[in-house]
Amino acid sequence: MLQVLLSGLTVGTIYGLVAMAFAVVFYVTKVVNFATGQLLMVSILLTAGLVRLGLPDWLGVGIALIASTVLGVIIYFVAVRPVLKFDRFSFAWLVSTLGIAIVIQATFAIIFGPASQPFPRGLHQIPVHLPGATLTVQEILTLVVGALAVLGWELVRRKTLVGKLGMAISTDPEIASTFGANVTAYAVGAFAIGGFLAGLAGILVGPITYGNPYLGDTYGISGFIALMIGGIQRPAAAMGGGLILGVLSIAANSYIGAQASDWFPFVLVLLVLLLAPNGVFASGDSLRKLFRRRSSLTVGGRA
Amino acid sequence: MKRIIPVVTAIAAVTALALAGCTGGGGGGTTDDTIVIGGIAGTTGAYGAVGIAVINGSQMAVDEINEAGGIDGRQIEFTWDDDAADATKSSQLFQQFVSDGAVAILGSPDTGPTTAALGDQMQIPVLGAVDDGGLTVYPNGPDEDPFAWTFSTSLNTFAWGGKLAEWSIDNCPNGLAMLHDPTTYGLGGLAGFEQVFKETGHDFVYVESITENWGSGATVNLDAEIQKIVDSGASCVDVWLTPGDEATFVQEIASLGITDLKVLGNDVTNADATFTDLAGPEGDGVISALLTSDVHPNDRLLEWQGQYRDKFDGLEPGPFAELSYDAVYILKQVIEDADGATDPESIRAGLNKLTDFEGLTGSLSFTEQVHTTINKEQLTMVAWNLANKKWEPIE
Amino acid sequence: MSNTIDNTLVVEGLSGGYDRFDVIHDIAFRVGRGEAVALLGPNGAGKSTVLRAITGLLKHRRGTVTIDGTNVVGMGPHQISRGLAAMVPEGRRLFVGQSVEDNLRLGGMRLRKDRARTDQLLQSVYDLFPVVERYKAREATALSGGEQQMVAIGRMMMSDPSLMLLDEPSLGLAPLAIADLITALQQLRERKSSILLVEQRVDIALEVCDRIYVLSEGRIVDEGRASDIGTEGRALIDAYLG
Repeated sequence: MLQVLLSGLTVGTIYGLVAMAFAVVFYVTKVVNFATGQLLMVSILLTAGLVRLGLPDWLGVGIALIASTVLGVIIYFVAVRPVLKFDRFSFAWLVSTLGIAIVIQATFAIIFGPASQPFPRGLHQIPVHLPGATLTVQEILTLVVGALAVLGWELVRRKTLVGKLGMAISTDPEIASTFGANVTAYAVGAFAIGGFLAGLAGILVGPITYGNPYLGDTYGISGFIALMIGGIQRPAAAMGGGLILGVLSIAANSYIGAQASDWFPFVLVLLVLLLAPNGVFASGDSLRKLFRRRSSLTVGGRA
Repeated sequence: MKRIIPVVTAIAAVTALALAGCTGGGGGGTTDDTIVIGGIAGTTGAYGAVGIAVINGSQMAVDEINEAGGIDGRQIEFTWDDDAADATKSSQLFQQFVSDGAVAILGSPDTGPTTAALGDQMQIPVLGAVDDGGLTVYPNGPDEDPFAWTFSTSLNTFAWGGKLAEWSIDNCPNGLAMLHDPTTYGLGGLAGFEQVFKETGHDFVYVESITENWGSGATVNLDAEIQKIVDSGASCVDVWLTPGDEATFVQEIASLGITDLKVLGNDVTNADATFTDLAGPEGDGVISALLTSDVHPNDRLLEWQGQYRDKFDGLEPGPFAELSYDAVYILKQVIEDADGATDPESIRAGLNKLTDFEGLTGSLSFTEQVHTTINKEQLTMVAWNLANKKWEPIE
Repeated sequence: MSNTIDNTLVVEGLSGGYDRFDVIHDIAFRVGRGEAVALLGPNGAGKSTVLRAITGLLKHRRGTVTIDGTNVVGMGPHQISRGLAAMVPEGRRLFVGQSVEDNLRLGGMRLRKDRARTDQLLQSVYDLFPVVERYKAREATALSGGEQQMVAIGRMMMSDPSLMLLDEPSLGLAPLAIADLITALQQLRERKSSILLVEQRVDIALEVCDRIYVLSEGRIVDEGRASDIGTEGRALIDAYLG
């Protein structure tokens, strides 16, 4: 039971970080960067490749994280800014970000070949035995990084003027710009943070999933599902969606059957979309209203 | 191996096709001067290395034959394309090659169920790396009839399942657990095990299937399954999954400190270096079976492997290249034996009579009932020796 | 061009619109230093488009818009916001999910490094609108329409702009709130702020402003001093605006 929970939270944190990468970009620019999964792949494969060339693990990881961050910004300038400049309300970014995802994937497939590459096992070799469950140090690190990502994000968003201006841009970029917000700078920042978070997820899951040029598809889709569950409007909620997806997938695997993780996430998303179209953590949705109504009823009953 | 391929990859593959136009066709079909052979294999995707080996092995045979004057003086036109492990793409290619005049289709190692079914439907011989044999060739199980038009020279999941089952009976005192993928690849292995277990009155201690990411290479979380396998008390476990997931499995149990569980693999575990590269030190001692001809290569095979490395810039040869090479030469012999007849029925009849063909992968035969050349008698049990970087015989 | 010295805003030959269709044509008007000017006109006359052209939100624009001697055509909104102009947009458009004080501080974004000045400006907003100070910790969009309008005006004041722009501030307000609004605008005027007010309500414009321009179908069709317009003129404009 504890093992299911902890394993689920670890997997869920990875999905959550990818979902956050999606959400941060969407938060500021209202664009879904469909190359987010590929940014995760880039950090894994670059680390694998650099370590194979003889670089120390930490240096490989550092360079890979910088690369995924920079690549996030490049995606903005190559695939998003030009199409939004042409028409601010167009959905052309759907095609352009998907297109750049294919280009990144094909490029890495040419450089690294199609087969998976070993990833430094690092902290994943060290088990930590708890009563009723075993985790590795890498998995504990994953949980900590996930918590820090949410905490850091919320702290910046709520407690700093930079974060509050970001919030203002998110809700009304036009008016925010008339009060001095440089919307482009924020968009660049959002794509950089998105790239960094996706890269971070890659580094954390690398020892488990290895480096493969086609990985972006699987993690991109899982992250997107987590985003749908948590709600696209708030990055912290996206992490919540990841955790829900992770725990319920592993639980479905354990208690329903090994193939349940195949269809279960989609059933989950369907349920969420029916009950809470804006995500489980969005305010004002029917799921919340349902709970609120029920709780007010019980209060009324007592009175 | 059937692989589920996501949309992005499929789009990528189509784009790549449009850009590269890698089909070598465009000729006038099979004539008095040329014989067209179609080839289908997944050369992209996470496990695209297998498809590349299939195409390279076939190409090498075709080049040799053409250089030596062709088949009865007719040049082979080998026209191939990447199916990206996608069944739709595969069936489109199949029909395209047949309308281009192909007398037989080689492959696909990734969409075998599609090519085998289409071979039957269109009455065109399908030969070579047709998935991993097994249920792809015998859709109703090992005791039933094979597809009449499909002749697999591929690694055979029935053979590996049977061989590993026999070994487990003698070496796993508390029985065997099995974790397999749910496609014809994993189910074929399961059928191979079941056949031997039924004959000898044994059974699995635990068996479960788990869906995998063949297209993207992402591993799946095996924590819950590992726990159940440990709880089952089995001495051994056969992990019939992607090489990536097998590597994850051995590393996870090492992390968990489980040392008394013997891990068995399958035909793909040692078909190339993917598993051993990924598994690292934790892969040491993993058990599988290997073609006896690969365990004890004769001079001809060693020489061929050298030629392969030379031709393909040092690329390591493997069984999928070898068995695809054999398939082209089998086709050559069958056409020559029929005095140059290339109609589908003549080729099929010739394949059904193939006896003791001396190939790289051993002495190969087909009959009306046996449509797989590789059977468990041709296999040797091996274990990965990390220190020597070799799969070494353990019998 | 002596009037650029006396005037906060000089607009000359301004045309522009959306997707290459011009909505406003060859507009010319000015707002003197410390003067309050109203831009009147019916729905769809192009009043908001003029404001968007001044703040930089309208990309397709030609002509000159000079604020404090600087031609801002060609500048982006975040550049124009650096002390030249600030706006109370139509519908207030306060920043959702943020407190009243945060809304005000975001208005003073450009002065964030000058803490003393920001605090002083904040205090002047609170002095002008005691109700805003009382609710400073509340979520801005949870306030009543009239209170939100005070916050929106405060947010504009916080950037301490040369030119204050107000787009239909009376829209959707209750009569009592409108009275408060008029008082607030008059106080802004007394502080010698340069104000451009876009309104549909002629009475408010006449009560607050020194001069008015009438805009129709994207062109300025009339102008005059507010004091020169008697009851008759008022009725005429009312009839004209429909």
